[in-house]
Amino acid sequence: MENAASQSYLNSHTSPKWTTGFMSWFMSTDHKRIGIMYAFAMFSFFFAAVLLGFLMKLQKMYPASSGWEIIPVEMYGSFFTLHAIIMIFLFIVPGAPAVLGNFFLPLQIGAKDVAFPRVNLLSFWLYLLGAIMAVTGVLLGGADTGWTFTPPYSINTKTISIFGIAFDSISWMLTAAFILGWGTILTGINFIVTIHRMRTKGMGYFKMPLFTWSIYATSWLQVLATPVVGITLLMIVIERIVPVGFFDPAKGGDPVLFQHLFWIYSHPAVYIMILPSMGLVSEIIPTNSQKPIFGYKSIAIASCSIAGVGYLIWAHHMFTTGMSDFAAILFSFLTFFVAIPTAIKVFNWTATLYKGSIALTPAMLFALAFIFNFSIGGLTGMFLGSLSTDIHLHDTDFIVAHFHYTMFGGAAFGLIGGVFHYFSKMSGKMYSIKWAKIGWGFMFIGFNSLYFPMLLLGYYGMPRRYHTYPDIPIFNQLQMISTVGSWILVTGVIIVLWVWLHGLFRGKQTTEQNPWNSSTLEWQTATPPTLFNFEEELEITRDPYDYEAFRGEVKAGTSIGADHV
Amino acid sequence: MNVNYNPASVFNQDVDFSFYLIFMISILCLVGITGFMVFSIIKYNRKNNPKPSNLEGHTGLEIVWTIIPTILVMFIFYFGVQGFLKMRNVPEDAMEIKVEAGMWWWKFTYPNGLEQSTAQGMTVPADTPIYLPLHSVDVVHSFYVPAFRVKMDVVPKPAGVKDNYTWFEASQIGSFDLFCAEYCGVNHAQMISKVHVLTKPDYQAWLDQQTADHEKLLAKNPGKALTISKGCIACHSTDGTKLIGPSFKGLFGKTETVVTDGVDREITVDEAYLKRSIMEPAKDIVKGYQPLMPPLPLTAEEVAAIIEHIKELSE
Repeated sequence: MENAASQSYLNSHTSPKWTTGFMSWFMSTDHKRIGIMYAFAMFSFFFAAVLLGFLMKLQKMYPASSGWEIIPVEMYGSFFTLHAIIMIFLFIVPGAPAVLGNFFLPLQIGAKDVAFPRVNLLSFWLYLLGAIMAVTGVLLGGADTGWTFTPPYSINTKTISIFGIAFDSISWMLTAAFILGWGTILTGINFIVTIHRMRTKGMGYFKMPLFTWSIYATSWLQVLATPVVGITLLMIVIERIVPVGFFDPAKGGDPVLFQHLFWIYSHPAVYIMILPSMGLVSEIIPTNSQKPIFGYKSIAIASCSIAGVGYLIWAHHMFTTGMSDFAAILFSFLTFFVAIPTAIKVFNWTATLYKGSIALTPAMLFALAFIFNFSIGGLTGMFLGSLSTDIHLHDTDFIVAHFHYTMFGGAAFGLIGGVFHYFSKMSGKMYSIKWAKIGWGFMFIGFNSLYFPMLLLGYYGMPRRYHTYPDIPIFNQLQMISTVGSWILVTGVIIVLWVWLHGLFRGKQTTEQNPWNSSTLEWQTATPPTLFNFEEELEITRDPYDYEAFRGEVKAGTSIGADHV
Repeated sequence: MNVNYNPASVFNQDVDFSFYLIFMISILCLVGITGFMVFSIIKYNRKNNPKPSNLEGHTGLEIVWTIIPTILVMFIFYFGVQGFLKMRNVPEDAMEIKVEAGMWWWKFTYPNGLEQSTAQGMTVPADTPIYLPLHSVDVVHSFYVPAFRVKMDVVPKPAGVKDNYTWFEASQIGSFDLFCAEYCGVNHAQMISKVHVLTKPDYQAWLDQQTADHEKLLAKNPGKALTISKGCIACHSTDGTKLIGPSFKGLFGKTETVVTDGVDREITVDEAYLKRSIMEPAKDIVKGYQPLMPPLPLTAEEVAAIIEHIKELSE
């Protein structure tokens, strides 16, 4: 046992004895293996959904009058539904916590594993089950309600029958989302308990790395918000099967009530998506600037305030639903209070660069792109939080662009940066840094040329979820630029995924423990980490980002730094 | 000509002011942040600056960049509310045009009872507040005129609950796009109409003309008049083209396969069938079409007139 524990987690495992190869991963309760499995599943889904997005942009290349049709009109609704279901429920909600949280949360706090390793594996299985159900649901039945499932459309719409057999893909998909929610709640509880109970000696709350802080805030949101949407989606399933009227006005229900319940989850969910990536950026920037993060405490507290205030502002998605004017004003007011901690974070990251010693590694490039894209995402959020401008911009391409600026340009760029940051630690291999930077360039330029025109399109009144659009010169030009942007972006995504796969299978072996010379605890483990992470129990004495002290430790030989910095 | 977004109503001033205020603040922030990033990357590059400082924060600076954004967002909030309250408070003397939405059509009912639908668009006098009660017969739609900065969801309500409303006052003469902005099914992107703004005298002349035309047609061919005013022709063509529903041309006497309670059966289109299809549209669905038609409040005479007109189109 002693022997197995000091081997790399890739070669030794705690799975049942009879398991080998694939099964030794699939049955593994090791947080590191689970993280890697999530990574493979999630990025596969991500790539599939990117292709759907690519086709949708291609569809929008020419206006209706041109007769251009890439996606038949009957299928367009299913396209954007499947794109969103995959991107949101299968990719960005589990996102950074599932991949890097699983892998690095125990490493960052000096623990052997998460608090409930078997529950952790159960979460992954629930994720896979839900994912398979959701994808088959749309593929077989062509559900076209959008990811928002707005009733009464989602209650009354009949789904396409396949081979003559009626298939209620909407109920099927809602059940899938319910199961996925379960997985999320379990992961959330798991991480909260891990952070509360399993920090190593000396690691007080304000000695935790910021990625751990962001996972902590996220986990609370997952635990508190997900049950609401779970029950709400089940109510739609019930309403589709038996004639009760929760949300269908024809049966005395209230469709706006659904939207409230839906957004009570789905607004906090956007912070579930973004906070972990903010945490990753808070790791990448100090490492690549070789100096403490600016205002550690305020970033940690801002994470928690974003989570707290984020829970109370859901109805800003509903200013045009005809809810009471007082409620609209109140929710607009509260919305602006989430802008402040968000702004603080952006200022702190930027200020961290000041007088640093900056290395533009691929991870750093993605982190800097995160700040730029996320700033646009956050600032465009003010147009939507302000009541009168929201009335004009709501349900247009402006919203779609704003959302992608935060979720793709923000959350996904942060996650991709995080994977580049931690790649060698996880795999024991190194990718091509040159190609990673080329991929970044394509993604950054492509992303902005795709989505910036969409902000303008929305301002000019282009409604979202349109299969075609009227032949208006300004629409035509902007749609064309946006479509060309999507080609550049997809090229970038393909390069990045290729760099990872190539690195994994053909990359140079490395055992260098701390290639970026980072001061946080996870880099003190072996590369790749051993089965139980740390050979002996550690004691933490300094702040996580105290680089001066860290450099002293490296000199004294008590900490491991990079080979050549 | 397409005047889709140029300012054209009394709301533009408030909305656009808020928009440009936020826009200016955003540009300043973005340029500041990006500029500082680029400056730092160059100035403090590892080659230029191999020895980093150990700066951990600056409380004074952090207080400044907490307080300034707080003040700015309160301004933004205030102007947003100003514009919004104007949109929500309908002037006493507003003229009422009832808006009805369904999959995938709009219907507009004028104060004198004249009804028009998607193809004709909504016609309004300039410089006159127009009050719009918004009624949906099926799912959630959204009434959106970008040029007026007006949007409100058309939400189906349970019996006895008041419908949503909005209002506007057009300040420009012209035709403006009217979009459905809430996804409502396959033909969501075809649920586009126009708002035509005329001068007050032109509007009056137009209304008189339309009403007279409609009455004339009603006297001469009541069925045809009704298929226009009730919006039938939005989904049923009169020239054989396949739209959302089967075409009226050649319909009478035709043999069709319909689905009744999930079972296919063949029928010949006769008066009894047409009557049932108008009064209970969900009963028999012609194969290849969706059950989308809403039941309309029609009198027995009106139904008979429409059937007569369908017969004519089949001769």
